[in-house]
Amino acid sequence: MASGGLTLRRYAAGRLLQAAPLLLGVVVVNFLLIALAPGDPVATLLGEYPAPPEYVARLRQEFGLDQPIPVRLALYVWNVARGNLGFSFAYRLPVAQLVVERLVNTFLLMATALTLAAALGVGLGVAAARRPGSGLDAASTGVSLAGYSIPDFWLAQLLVLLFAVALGWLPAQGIRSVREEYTGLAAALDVGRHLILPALALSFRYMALIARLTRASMLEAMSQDFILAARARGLPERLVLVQHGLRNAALPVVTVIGYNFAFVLAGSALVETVFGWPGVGRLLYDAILQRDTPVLLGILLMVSATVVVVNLLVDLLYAVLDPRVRY
Amino acid sequence: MPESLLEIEDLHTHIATPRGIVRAVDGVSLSVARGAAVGLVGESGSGKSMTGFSVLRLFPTARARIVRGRIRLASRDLLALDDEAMRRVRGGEIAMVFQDPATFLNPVLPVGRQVAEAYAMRHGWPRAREHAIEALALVGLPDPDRLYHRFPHELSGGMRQRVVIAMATVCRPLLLIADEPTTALDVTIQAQILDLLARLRRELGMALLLITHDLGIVAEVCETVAVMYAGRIVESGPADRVFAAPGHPYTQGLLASALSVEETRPITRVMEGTVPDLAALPAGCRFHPRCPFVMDRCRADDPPDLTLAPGHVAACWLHDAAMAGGPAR
Ligand SMILES: Nc1ncnc2c1ncn2[C@@H]1O[C@H](COP(=O)(O)OP(=O)(O)O)[C@@H](O)[C@H]1O
Ligand SMILES: [Mg+2]
Repeated sequence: MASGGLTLRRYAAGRLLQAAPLLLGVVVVNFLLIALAPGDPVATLLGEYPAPPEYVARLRQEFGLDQPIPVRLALYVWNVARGNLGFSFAYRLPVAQLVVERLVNTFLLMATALTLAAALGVGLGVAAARRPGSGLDAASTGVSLAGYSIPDFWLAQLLVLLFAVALGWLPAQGIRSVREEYTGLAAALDVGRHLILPALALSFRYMALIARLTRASMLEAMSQDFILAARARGLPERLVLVQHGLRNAALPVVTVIGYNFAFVLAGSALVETVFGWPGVGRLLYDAILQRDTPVLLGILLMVSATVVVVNLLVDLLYAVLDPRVRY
Repeated sequence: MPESLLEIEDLHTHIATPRGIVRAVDGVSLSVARGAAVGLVGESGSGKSMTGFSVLRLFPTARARIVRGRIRLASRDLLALDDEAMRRVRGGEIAMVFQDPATFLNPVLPVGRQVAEAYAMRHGWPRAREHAIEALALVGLPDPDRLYHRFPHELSGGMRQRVVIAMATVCRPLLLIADEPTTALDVTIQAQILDLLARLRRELGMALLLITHDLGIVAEVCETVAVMYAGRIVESGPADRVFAAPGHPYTQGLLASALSVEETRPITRVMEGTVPDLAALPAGCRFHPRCPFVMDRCRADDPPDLTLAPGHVAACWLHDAAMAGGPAR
């Protein structure tokens, strides 16, 4: 329906406009928090080496650190509004370029982990719901419990010990092999091999969550009258399960996956650190240690913007999946 | 005598519950001729729906099981079919529509798609769409091309029930089981849906097993009626005969209450009590605790079907030849 599509588009545009003040708030609060925090980025940059005071003063001027905070804030907001996130003290690179590069790596990790979690979680949940109380159901409950209770970093180290150290099947560090020069497909496969362990470590908890949720949601959906009606029309059980059961059971699952996006992002910081994955989490960690304020602010802003966009996408997907949703 | 389509013989369907075994269907025999309309009436809880579900071998609970009896459709033994063959009978030769069209439609799929599914499964998709649109038109829905893409919540109750009927008839079944198809609807819509069922029956030549607690509906749509009480058919016969000269005290009671409700007459003799617990049926005749004509024999022995006139039978000792002197009060 054309009118429905138009409403949806208008709704999406409205939501994005609403997000603008939110992001401005994120910028201002983060800026003030960091500007008012103790510690001096110039001192950190210079390290322990003694530097002549004129040089320190020149650096401060160059970075604009000699201005009063309100001026610096106004300048920063103005620059951000024009798409300029500043310059990294430590990397001597534009922040936007640096953060986007790392964000791409993080998204690769997250997308793989979430796809894995969704595929395995939904599969396990549906299988468990088909025969509640069966051995498979009990096994899925066990896996879910493990997923909830095993900390990510511990699982990460376990995976490294097993698959990298003991068996030597998979690399444990980085995103690509340092010693080989791969190109084309070989390079992609190389990244893929590096991706497996961190993605597994990151996905396990969400797989458990999705499996639990799918099971409950599926049991609820399959007890509905329209399932009986679908069977009364002679539809094969597979079709009843997917078209009528899962199609309805997916609604809460999609919501939860979407709203957990921010937590997966947070979880990826930890996993990236363990696996030396050059993502935004690692960058954040380094930026904090180095008091690289522009990078810190850039990451916080771009991550906030991503979360806003993803939440919007989830709402739109929900509206597509559930025709009853009205705006 | 028209050719018989559905033959149910001595059907027993039990539900295992924590309270014990519920004898939801307890020895039902019933037949529906090709193209005929048979009404199955009785109070709520007497096992009418379970009888309908038994014919499809499909139950709303996994605890229900057909334990004995025979169900034949066009002389095919349905109880002997394997699961796959039985699945094909559902929605093919036998279709069912239910009481509440709101809950029996999938809320997230376009209605046309749901109508088309049963056909698509048998004959493939491109043709299924056309047939679904035809089926929507046949049940009297306006603008079926556009309606195809609408969702259940966008339709009124009456339109939804028409969609549900289109879903059931898209494959041109030989038998349509309609379980309280108008109970959830407004009175004016009820009449339209009943007219629709009567028209479809004529146009598609399909037989109708109409399950209802409303005798008025049966009188309007069906030539034959079977009265069910506590898991058993207690009286059956041509509708005009049964309504004119009911042989079973239960049927008499039902008719009396129907009249007193519909014509707001002073209540003359309305039945007291309710359908017994089907997990603990009384001994003898299952109606005896509520029967105004109860005799000693009713408490001890379950009456067999006794013939009152050609095609008119009632399971009541009042009609035993030995009692020809008439009922003792
Ligand atoms: N889903 C179910 N689970 C357990 N018992 C049921 C279920 N559906 C029906 N029953 C029992 O089966 C008996 C017959 O019910 P039903 O066939 O629905 O009666 P009717 O359609 O005549 O109102 C009742 O005693 C009822 O309690
Ligand atoms: Mg019923």
